[in-house]
Amino acid sequence: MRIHRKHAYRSIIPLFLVIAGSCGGPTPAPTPSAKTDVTKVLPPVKSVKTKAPEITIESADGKSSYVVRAKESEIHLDESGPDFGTMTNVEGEILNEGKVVSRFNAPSAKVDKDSQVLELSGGVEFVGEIDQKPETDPVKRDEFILHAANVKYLQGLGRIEAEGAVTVTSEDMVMGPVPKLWATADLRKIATPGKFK
Amino acid sequence: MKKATTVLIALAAVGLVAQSQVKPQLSDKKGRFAVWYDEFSTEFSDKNTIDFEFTGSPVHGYSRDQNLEFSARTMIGKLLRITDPKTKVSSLQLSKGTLSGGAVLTIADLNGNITFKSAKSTIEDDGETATVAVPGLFSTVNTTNVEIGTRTLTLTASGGTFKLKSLAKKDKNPLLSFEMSGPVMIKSDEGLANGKKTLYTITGQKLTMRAEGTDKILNISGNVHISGDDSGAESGNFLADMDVNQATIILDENNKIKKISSKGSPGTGTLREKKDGS
Repeated sequence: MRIHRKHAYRSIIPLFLVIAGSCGGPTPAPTPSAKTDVTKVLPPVKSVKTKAPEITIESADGKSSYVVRAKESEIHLDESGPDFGTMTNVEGEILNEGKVVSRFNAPSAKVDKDSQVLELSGGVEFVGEIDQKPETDPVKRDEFILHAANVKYLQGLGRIEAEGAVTVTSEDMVMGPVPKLWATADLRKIATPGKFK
Repeated sequence: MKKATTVLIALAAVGLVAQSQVKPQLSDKKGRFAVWYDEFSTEFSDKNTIDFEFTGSPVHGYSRDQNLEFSARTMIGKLLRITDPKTKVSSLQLSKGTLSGGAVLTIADLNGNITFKSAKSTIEDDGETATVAVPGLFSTVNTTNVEIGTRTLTLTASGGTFKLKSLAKKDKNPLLSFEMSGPVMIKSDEGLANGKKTLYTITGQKLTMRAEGTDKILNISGNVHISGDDSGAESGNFLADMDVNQATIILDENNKIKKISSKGSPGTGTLREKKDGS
């Protein structure tokens, strides 16, 4: 699995450039000498706090993706480019072939730069739509809601790993609590880790 | 200080015990179905069908809409979400289950209940009929309530298949028929725990049963031995030993013997009337 960086950066880089630019105060005059001066004046930026970023991360084959929207985000930078760091008060969706299969919200989220895994924490609500009914159906949508302390989404495996008093509820059913639970992103398949196939 | 520490340790111990007793479960919100387990997997094959596997020490649970209780080390099968057309509220029912390792299935009826105990058993309920199949050595105990306590009919065999009306129908006499391979034994006891007596014991090689109204027609064959110790007129009044090749025994809804007739090879049966105190 790898993050489709080009796509992911599409939304974050302009934002970063705006913020990075605003950190340096008034823009110098566009002369060759002034450009050199700015480089010397600005210290290397290690992290930047932004407001309301939205990132979209696609799988390498483009079949699945997820969108994370945050009220606040901290972006870390190093030689290899920006890392999305920690986002707070997030919500988002997981899509499979363009169709939303689950939605989530959490107090905190992180896209791990090395494992490229989405980590939601601090009390996560994860809603899988087993059988999405038409929007016009006024009665009910067949939703399964997972609650857990923390949830990881491993995009390449198409799997979520939840831990911490995990429960799954629907309008008519309750599962758990269990300490750990794995599931497909749409919550169609749910199991304790040793039983997940 | 020492007392406070002791109290804290005791509270912590109680907490740990309480925590270990709370097992995870899957249940419907109507409280009609619940299962407790240690490990599980579920998969929705469609929105009303759940394929499952539960393991535990043991897995145990109930389906109130089917008058069913179960327990085993492993249970694999299928659950259905049944929606009440009036209230639109769903409950879960067991459609299929294979129980392995100390498998116990109890089906309650209005008279009492039937319990199957075996290493492995399978239950299927298609909404019209239910089948319980037990491939190996097993015993089933049918308990009915009578005036002086309970009457139990214990069947022991090397394998058997039981046909019942759909468990969700909650019929007073759900058993339709069964076939058991031998050696088989039927034993009827009656009374309270401290005053229990055996009414009759029947052994043979093969046993079939079909329901006829509230009666059960039992056909038993192969070195059949019938021993009755019941001298009470209220309980069937069979006081004898009988050896035949084949016999038909009619039991009433309380599993009391209504009639015994030998079949197949007349003349090979012997009847020895018992005397009081024999």
